[in-house]
Amino acid sequence: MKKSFPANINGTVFYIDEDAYNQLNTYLEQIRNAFSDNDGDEIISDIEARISEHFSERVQQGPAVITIKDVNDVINKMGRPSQITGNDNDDNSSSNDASTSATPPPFQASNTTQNKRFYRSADNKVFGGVLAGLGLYLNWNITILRVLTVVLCLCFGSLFWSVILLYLLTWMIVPPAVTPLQKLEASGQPVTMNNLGQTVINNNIPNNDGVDFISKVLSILGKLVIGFFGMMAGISIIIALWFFICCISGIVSSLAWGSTYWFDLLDWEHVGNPNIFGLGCAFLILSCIIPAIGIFWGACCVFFKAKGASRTLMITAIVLEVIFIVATLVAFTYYKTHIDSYALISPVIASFSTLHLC
Amino acid sequence: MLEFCIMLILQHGPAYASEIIERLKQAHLIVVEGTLYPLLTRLKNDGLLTYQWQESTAGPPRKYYAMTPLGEQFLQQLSASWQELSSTVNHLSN
Repeated sequence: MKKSFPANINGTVFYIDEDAYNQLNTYLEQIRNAFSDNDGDEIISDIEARISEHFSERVQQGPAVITIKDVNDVINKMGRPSQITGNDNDDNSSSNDASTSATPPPFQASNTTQNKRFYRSADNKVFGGVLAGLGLYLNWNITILRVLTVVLCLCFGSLFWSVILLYLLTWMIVPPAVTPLQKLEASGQPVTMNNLGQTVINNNIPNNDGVDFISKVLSILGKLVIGFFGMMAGISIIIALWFFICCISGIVSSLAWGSTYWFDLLDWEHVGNPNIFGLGCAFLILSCIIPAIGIFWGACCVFFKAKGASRTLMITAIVLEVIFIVATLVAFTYYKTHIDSYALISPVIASFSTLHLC
Repeated sequence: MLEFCIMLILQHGPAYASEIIERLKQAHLIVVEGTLYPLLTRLKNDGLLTYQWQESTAGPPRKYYAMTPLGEQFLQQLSASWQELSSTVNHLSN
């Protein structure tokens, strides 16, 4: 005996067994994930319409209730998400291809527990949710992990920049857990209908039991830190832009440059050209502006819910940043090798390079 | 390739997804039915196809896909290059 209930598929009502319903729902969820980036809704509704047609034919010929066998038949006809999208990077289905071919396989809930994935936590975050995601992945207590990280940063000054760099890199590389399926994968729960439903319900109810006092304090502290740095960054962007304009106008209006082309700059005959110092300063300012804009933007994201930067933009910014740092060092090294007054600016360079390299 | 065949089918007049699938199955072309829908959506977004909702005698309304002028133009180009290709291949294989 099985429990069955009516289900509406594309405007037609079918009586469907509970297990068959779960199977079909998981299948549609997987297709939705496969097409989440483009026109997903339209494709899904078309596919649902076709499934509904298949079921209508089936119901006319046989028993009135849709069983799990009918659902499996239809799924075999429609094809698995990896077959439909034409790429085989769907872990679930490819791992199952070898094991079984009789039943359509992507939906075996038992082995999805192994597919625990590292996602950033979108619900329970202070900055980017990296530590919360890591805590879920490693089964560690998130609060302890956060406190440990802060203490580690404060006690070992040399670790400070590397931890921050590592955090930012992880932030960029690891995707956030947004869909219910991703949330289940992040916490390593098996992907079943009940769990998916539970996740959807939890999404709509603010989750209070996981947020303890320390997390709240950390969250407020985090926002204060972001706000402070954002304000500083905003001010420094304005100052730096002004200095940059001064540098450029100084370089351009200088007599020595009037008769020289840009590519002659590093020629030996121009040794001692003091403008190289201005050029170095310009690069230095540019390389400071990029992180400043980043911090300012981040602060805006937190406080004014501004839209975050895309991954492409971030990577471009980082490449530019590296280029500017190298250009700064080259310009100042050139200046140092050829001009005596290097002693004047050496402390600046020293502090600048330690800031970036440590 | 599959896009070309879909457009060849629609050349003779509008059809809805299940008809297209039937025709493709007769030609032993399609493996799984789901493949068709992303292709139709893509062709529609490129402006080569358009669709209309039509009431059907049995069940909910269906989406009837039809060619646009742009699609016909594109199909002519495709056919021309296909002719060229197939004559080359025939010539070489004989």
